[in-house]
Amino acid sequence: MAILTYTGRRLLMLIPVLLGISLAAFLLGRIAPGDPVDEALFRIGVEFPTEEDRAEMRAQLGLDRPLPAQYLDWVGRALRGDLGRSYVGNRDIARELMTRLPITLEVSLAALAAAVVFGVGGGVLMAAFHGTWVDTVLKALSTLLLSVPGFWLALFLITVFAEQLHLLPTSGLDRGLASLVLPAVALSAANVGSTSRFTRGNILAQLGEQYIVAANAKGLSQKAVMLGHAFRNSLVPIITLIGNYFGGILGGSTIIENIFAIPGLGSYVLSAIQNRDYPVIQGYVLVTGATFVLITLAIDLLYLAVNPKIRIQGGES
Amino acid sequence: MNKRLGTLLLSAACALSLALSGCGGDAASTPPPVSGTDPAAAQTPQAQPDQTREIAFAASRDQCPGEQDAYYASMSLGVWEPLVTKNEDGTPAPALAERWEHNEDATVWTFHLREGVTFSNGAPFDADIVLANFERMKKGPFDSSFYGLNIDTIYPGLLSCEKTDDFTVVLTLAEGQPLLDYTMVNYGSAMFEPSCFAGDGSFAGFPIGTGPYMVKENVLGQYCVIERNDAYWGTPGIAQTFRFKVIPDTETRYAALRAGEVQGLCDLGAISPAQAAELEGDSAYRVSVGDSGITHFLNVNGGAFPFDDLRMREGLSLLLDRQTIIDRFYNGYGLAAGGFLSYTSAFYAEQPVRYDPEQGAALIRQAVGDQPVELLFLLPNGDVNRYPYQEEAEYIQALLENIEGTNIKVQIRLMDWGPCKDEMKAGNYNMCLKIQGLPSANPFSLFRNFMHTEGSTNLNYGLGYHNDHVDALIEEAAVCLDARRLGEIYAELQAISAEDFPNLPVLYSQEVVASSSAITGYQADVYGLTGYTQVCWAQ
Amino acid sequence: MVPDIEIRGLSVWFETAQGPVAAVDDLSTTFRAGRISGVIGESGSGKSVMGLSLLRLLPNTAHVTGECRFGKADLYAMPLRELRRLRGASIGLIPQNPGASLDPVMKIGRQIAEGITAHGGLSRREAAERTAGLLRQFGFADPEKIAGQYAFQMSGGMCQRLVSALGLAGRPGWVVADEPTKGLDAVLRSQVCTVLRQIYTEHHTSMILVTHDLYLARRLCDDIRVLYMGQIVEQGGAVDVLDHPRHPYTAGLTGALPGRGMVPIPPPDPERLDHRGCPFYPRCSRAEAHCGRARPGDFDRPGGGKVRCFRYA
Repeated sequence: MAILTYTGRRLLMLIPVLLGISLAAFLLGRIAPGDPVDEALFRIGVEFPTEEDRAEMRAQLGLDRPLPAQYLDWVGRALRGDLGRSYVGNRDIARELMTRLPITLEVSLAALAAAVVFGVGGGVLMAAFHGTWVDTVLKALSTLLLSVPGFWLALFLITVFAEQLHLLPTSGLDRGLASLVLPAVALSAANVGSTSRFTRGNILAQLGEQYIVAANAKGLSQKAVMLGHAFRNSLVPIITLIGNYFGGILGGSTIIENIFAIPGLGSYVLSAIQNRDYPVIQGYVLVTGATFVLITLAIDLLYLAVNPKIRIQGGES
Repeated sequence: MNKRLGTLLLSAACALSLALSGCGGDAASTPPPVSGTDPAAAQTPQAQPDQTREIAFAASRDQCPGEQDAYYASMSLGVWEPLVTKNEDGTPAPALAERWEHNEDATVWTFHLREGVTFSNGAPFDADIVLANFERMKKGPFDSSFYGLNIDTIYPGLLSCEKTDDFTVVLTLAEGQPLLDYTMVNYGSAMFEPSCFAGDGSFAGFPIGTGPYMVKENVLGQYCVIERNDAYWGTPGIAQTFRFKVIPDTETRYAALRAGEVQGLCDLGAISPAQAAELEGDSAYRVSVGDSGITHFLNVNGGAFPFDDLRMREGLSLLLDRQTIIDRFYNGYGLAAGGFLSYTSAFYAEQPVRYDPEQGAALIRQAVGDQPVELLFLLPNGDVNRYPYQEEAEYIQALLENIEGTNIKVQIRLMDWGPCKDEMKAGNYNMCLKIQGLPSANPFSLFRNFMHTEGSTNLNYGLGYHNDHVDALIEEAAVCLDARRLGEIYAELQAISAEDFPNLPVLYSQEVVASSSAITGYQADVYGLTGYTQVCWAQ
Repeated sequence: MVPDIEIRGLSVWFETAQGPVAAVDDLSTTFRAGRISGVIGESGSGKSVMGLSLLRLLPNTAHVTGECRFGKADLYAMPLRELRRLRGASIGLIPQNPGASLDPVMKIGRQIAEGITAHGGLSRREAAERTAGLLRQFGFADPEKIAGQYAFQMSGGMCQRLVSALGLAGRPGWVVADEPTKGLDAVLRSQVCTVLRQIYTEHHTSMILVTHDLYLARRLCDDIRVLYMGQIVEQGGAVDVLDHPRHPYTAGLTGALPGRGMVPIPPPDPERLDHRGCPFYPRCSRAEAHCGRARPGDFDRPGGGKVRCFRYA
């Protein structure tokens, strides 16, 4: 029951958070130099707009009204689920976002899964084989992954695995799971590097604790001590780290989406930013902001499952 | 007009037969080949490649942007056809309109439509269809990623659109438009079967056109598939299915070609010059270079020192080794530009490309002397990403800074196009590299906007150009009803531009595309209604 | 038959930031089965190190040399895999610092059951039953409730009883109790003493009791060893050694007790620090010149046992 009230409270927090970030996005868009008028005019065939043309387009886009009016108008419509139509292409933004969100989520979750499996798994391996050649090799590998920029890695992977070896597709999403592999790897590589180091450090720190001595004294196998005790106790900071990463993965996928021709939220907002397509940018911020908050909430709930002290003492308070 | 039509048909037939003999098409409808080289003639009938296999292309943008786009699909796909298309030399050519004429003051235009044409859904093409399409255009303007559909720009002052019989349409305009057929070329007169329109003029479902292919599948932002229209009135396509994948990143697109995932790369910026250079020697691929209406201009601030001085402008133009720029930065893809108008325009009057670094340096010395001069060179971010502007700007910077007897310093600054434009308009710059396309086959708007004192681009780009004679010529052209006289005016304007330099043309861009040798018939230049009809499997 | 534990020549040194530090110095002793054997000394005397070394539970920074016979095997030399089989099943540990010795995120019942099933063979239900039995044995009236709770919900005394249960979960023949009363008040100390005696009498578990609590040692142990700076300076019957200490250090220890006058052992004499003799030389009030020049061996102690002091040579 306490969990439900906790969750409820956190969901209520969504509202001020979303208002805040949408306002920030709104203001940043308006403050930034450049405006969507010329691009919008160009697309309807007015390549050399006169001042009258631009004034007319500005009025048509609603940009001549005072800023608070524009923002409140947008909020009012957003509350009803209407995010307007894009300046470029006149597409229904809400529908577009809803179509693209699952695609971006798919890639982001694949990257997150890779970060968890290889990052945490790698860290566990490094801790288990601490001091041996396995540890050294994996440490070097994780440093390498940390230092390689994502977009370079993406192009490298495409060249090797798609172009030369023909093992995986270069781009697109038409081959199901196979299409997700390279983007997920490129997106998660740096995170794998740092997560594995972090996990290794945390587990090793746990292994120095008194309860590990007691566990060993019981005659447990190394696996039972490492996974059953040390690992479970390292989970909370690792979960925190991965939760932070998710924000980065969600945002960083913009470049990866562009390289791998994945029609997700990232590629959508990239062209919107270049075109100063304000309603798209605001809609994007809303959707990703909400997604991020929900994921953070899920992670916090995960803490409860993993750390009984928080769960029991939190419930009592 | 008829003689030209005849020549056109004959050359089309020759091209067709050449292509068909290379692909092994239907023997019954192939006229005998004209040229001697015919490797396919040695092939036995059994060795014909299977043309039912899908051919895949990749492009940086959606070839079928969908229902909210004015045209739904790029014209090159051959899904829809216009009333008027254009020849290799840029002059208007018949498409769905067989021939046309206008009255003396060019206010009444009469179009005679081609008979026996049906849409892909079986509906006949006739004057009623044309009227319906004009009704639809009035609901605009419509947004498009190719060309905006704005009836007031294409048909300025259109009073009425009527039919006199089932295959004759008459357009009446408020003022004489002697070059109306130029503005109607291709995207200016797209014809669709009206039942595919929605109430607001956008599309409700797939577009229905008269072309050799039909849209079969479209996933926005990912890919589209077109299928051969077997009831097509003209030369049928050879391949049955084409897929166009959207791959925005240049490197990934290239990798897709090399991995064999696609057989060709199409549309603007299909392949970078460096990548094309890599493929040139490889027999597994074919690179094709074609016309692009894009010109690269070095815009200058003629409203302030030092570019308000003609000697400075002319001097810099003489100093630029255009061919070296093209060879070094564009891998040889491009043509040195002497004049303002792109060579692809029907009204192109070639201006000599003058390269004389000593004379150029001398002129600049006269203009600025040895006083310290600081020049601000702006580069728009979007163009820097697509073109080698950074290197080019550094080259120009080096040229200017090393002129003996002068003390010139050039500062290069990258900016987003929005703020860049603001700075240019305010006159806070000296130089800016920017591309300029051909918005229409009628170059009037280009001349007026760049070269007239009150021209919108002249003002918006801060060019500060003023020439009374040019103003007079442009004002004359605005009301001139004689196409021949217009041609003369445009030629004179180009000659003036090569001496008075409203801005500095650097090079005329060329489109580069690539395909694997698994397919044949794909090239960069596509005229008339050919589209992808000649692209097919080679084996 | 439960074998004796025989240590021969054990030396342990640690890597530290200040360089190597010796904790145990060439120690030899035999712990006889069927008894409660005590190991006493101050903090830092090396007694816990010695106790933990039997099961090789020292950290990686520790370096151990010597031999430890357990039946036919050498505990220090056998492969770790084999040793894990002995841990908990043949030799158990009741660890120091009970609160920290329990896994904070694992239910108590599961931790105990782990100790029971570590060496295989039991079904989950059987393990649960044994866990409940063990908890009841150690004074928990409601074992099911305790089994579902976590370490942070337990008081200090409860934790102590729990780690004792953990040590015995595998039903070992030997158990090493490491400082079982450290930091506990008098009431709890008494409780612990009762529990340990109970273990001994009910299960006949041989015990090594490592402690600084002399009262506890006197009450529980049959024989004791007194450790000073990693060496055994006196060993013999527990009551005898504590009531009639022979070695000056032992005498100092007992003299420092509240009940015996609370006379502290003097700090080391700075002039004597640089010596090559008896480790207690710098602090010994009864030392003579030759004590600082040579190390004493084990001499017979009046009343039984050994003492390492030249005064009994």
